[in-house]
Amino acid sequence: MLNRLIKTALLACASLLAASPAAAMTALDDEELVEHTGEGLAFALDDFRFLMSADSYIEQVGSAVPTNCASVGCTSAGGGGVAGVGPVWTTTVPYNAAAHNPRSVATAGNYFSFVRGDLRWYGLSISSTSNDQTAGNWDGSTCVGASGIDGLGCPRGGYVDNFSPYDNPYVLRAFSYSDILYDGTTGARTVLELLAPTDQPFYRFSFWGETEAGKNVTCTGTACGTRTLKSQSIIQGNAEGSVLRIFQFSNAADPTFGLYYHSFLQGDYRFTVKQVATNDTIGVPVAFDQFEGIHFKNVRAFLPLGQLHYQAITLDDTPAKNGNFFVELTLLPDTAGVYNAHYALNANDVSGYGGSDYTGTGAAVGSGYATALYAVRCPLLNCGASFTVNGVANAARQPATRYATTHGYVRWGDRACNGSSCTAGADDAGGVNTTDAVNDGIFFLGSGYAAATTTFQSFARRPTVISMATGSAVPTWQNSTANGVNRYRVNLGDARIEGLMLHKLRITSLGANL
Amino acid sequence: MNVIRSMVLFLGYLLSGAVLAGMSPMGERELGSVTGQEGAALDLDLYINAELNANGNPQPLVSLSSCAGGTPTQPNPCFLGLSFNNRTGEWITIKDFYATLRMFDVFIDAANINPAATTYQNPGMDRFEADNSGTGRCLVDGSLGGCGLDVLDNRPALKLSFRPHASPLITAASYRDISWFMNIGRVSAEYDCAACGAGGIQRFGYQLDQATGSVLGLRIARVPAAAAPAELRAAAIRVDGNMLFFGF
Repeated sequence: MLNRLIKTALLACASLLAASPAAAMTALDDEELVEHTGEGLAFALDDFRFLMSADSYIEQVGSAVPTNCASVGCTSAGGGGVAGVGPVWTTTVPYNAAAHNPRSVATAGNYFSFVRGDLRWYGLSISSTSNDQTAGNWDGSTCVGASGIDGLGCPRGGYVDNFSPYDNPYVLRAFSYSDILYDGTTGARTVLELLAPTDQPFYRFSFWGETEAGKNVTCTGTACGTRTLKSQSIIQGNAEGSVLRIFQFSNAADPTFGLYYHSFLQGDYRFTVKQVATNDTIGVPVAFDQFEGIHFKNVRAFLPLGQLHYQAITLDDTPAKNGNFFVELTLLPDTAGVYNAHYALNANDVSGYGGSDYTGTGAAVGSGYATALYAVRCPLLNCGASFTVNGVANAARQPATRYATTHGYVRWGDRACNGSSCTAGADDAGGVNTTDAVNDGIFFLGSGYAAATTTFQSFARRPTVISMATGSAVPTWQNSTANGVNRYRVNLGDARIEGLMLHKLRITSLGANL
Repeated sequence: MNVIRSMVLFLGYLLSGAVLAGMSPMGERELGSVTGQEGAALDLDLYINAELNANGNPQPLVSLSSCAGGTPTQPNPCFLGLSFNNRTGEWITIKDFYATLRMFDVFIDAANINPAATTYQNPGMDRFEADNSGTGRCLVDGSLGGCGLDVLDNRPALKLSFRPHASPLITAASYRDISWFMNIGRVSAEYDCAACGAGGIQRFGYQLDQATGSVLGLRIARVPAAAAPAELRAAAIRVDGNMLFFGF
């Protein structure tokens, strides 16, 4: 009877849809129907800007934990009614703040380390690198016109045109990659991946921070702000080329949730604590000096966390099973099929570190050492067509190699190539930085930079002459204005870390069992 | 049951045949008066273990013990558990969790993709291809030989945006698009327990609070208003621009 009822209802619906107005609708043809195949989703952002108000924040907090251990989990000595699971504090040894964390007891003279509200990040913003905002500073004061070094003076700008353009959008897609598995064999695995644009304009990421260090635990209210340190961080750059993947880890013994993140960051960074008008009251936005602080310019960093498919970021609990857990970049498997490829230079090379691509000396373009060296150095260094090995120019731009995806780097400053093997290209145009340079590398600016007044000693004051002739060991000191002793700026030069490869990284929490 | 069948049949006849045949197509003017044709606008209010008080500020639900206290086996219920593959019976448990997320004037509209290339075009358009080669099957239109920019030409997309701001300049009143409060009091690993519940019944790890401490805690909020200094307050956020959303 029920079937007949359903059939009747369906007939009624069919008759409804078959009526004349429906016939006037345009039918989708097969071509249109196959257009969306479901492989991926694209996100394009135009004229984008994200601004938290300057008094909105993200903070680290902690809640009071239950101290009543009279229930099942606490009844047996040593840790609970579940084998190896229960809490440390039991009814016979209850949690006692004075005994277990004496610094946290609200007594005059005791000082918290970090507690609720001690670390706050205010006003997270993503905006353009322009300086055109009449309320660009955190306190609402104007920040218009040339400001700071290359715009690093203003924390907030305008819209970001083409943040992720429609022809280079963020893409979320399912994809199958054939690569090396945990056991060293090759196989295909499906991943869900989020791809950042491969080319993006520089944008500004900024926030101001507040740290309450050593606060007296008996102090309440905003008056405790006398121990507050306020700071500002401004990053102008992008994360183009970064990739996030999630998948089931290929380790047969632990097929758990795996995460892969290859982080590319480039741009400039400034950190400052110099306020225009000092105000240490908690939660009150302030304006910062436009120049003072430590600068890192022309930074490029690549950090590979995980490899398809033999290394992944995973989560697991600690053996004590006391509430703590760890985040781990899994150990590189001790398997020839893995490490010979992991350490190889070229994408298809499985000969490892001692392989022909490392030891070969062939100068011919497109083969052996020359190609491999070029391929390692140049795709991410922007060497252009002028890169030469053994005097032979290599014009072909190579795809990313295995080495280039397993070994990261951090480069502060634009000196990308050393020696005669690298001719001038876009990345080493800056050459060696002068001690006054403010356009490259790592440098400090004093608050007197704008007025060119000396505000700090950049180097130790060195003795120039130590004479024993007079019977005195008092040296002759270097002139206080010579050679950059009293200064308002100093450049420390460029620095590089190369070959940054993480064999294993594990971060274990301890806080769940305090 | 025959009565029901008769009613369904009657409804079917009512809507089809005679009645519908009598309808006349709508003209352009009539179509132009249809509401909602220019996209949809909506407000989104999402509360998790929280409510708004008389001042419009977020607070944990009083009926849930204000998301505080409890015992290791009978904790306050403001929990969220995450469990991963091959981690049976093990949970990363977020405790004392409550949040409000409010979005105002979210505009959802249709758009066609502009065919002009930008200076940031993906080389080879390989992110739209089946094998990342630059010459493989283009997933957007199914053709072989890679994707050109033309495959996106006039492609329909969903456009999401907030009510446009009158000016690009930042003002105190312009943080009006998103109001967001979130409290994660504590986080730790918890385990399924066969007899931890009242009367010895089973409890899952996301219903327990056996760990004595916390791995981390996080709060997204705003400095309290002067008029209500003791109340929590949601972060205020401004979002400019459009998000084009399309599939392939």
